[in-house]
Amino acid sequence: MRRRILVIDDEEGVRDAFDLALDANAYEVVTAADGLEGLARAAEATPDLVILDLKMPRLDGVETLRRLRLQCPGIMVYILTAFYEEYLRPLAGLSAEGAEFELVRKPLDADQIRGVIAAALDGTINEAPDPGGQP
Amino acid sequence: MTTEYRLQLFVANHPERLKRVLAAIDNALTGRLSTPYDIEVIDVMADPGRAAIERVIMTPTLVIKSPTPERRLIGDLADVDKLCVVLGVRKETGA
Repeated sequence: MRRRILVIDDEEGVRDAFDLALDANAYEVVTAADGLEGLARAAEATPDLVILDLKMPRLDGVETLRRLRLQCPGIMVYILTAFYEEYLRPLAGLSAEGAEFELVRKPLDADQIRGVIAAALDGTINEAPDPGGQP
Repeated sequence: MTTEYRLQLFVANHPERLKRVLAAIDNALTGRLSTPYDIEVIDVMADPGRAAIERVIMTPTLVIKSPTPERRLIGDLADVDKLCVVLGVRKETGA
């Protein structure tokens, strides 16, 4: 059975990267360009995994995560972000609220996307793909 | 005293998972090593620079710094059997 992955990111290149990297026989990749669209996609069918950007128009990632937690309790959310303090700072409020999430670094190449998704969904212990892409 | 196993665990805001992972690592290593192991927990939210330096791509990530060669594990790190295999320690075979 294909697992449903919802990628919410305003960058078309990021959405396409997940769609192209993942085997269509194993994953159904659903994309959304902002938080509001992402919530609508999640309402259509609850995804197994959400990849969520932070900085987006209309509804940013922080508020999207708050609403996702209400809409789909227990859903697995990975925040897609550069690992820099200024990007992570907005998440501090969510931590204080007790919202659970994991982090995945941006950008990722195709091998890294496959590794991250497999690790997140299959719970297996994988050797991480060759790191790179961020100094 | 030499510490044979030196580990770094990169985590984000997920306290329950952190507890599970730490328990699994402890179950995998305690009693199976002749020397203590050392594990450093790094909160990526608080110290993203460390994650960048170590080229971490997701949380949680377990970096095995020693024994060498360095290895990296991602995903659900709570499976003791798999941890034993990757860490190179013998699984318990009996009661």
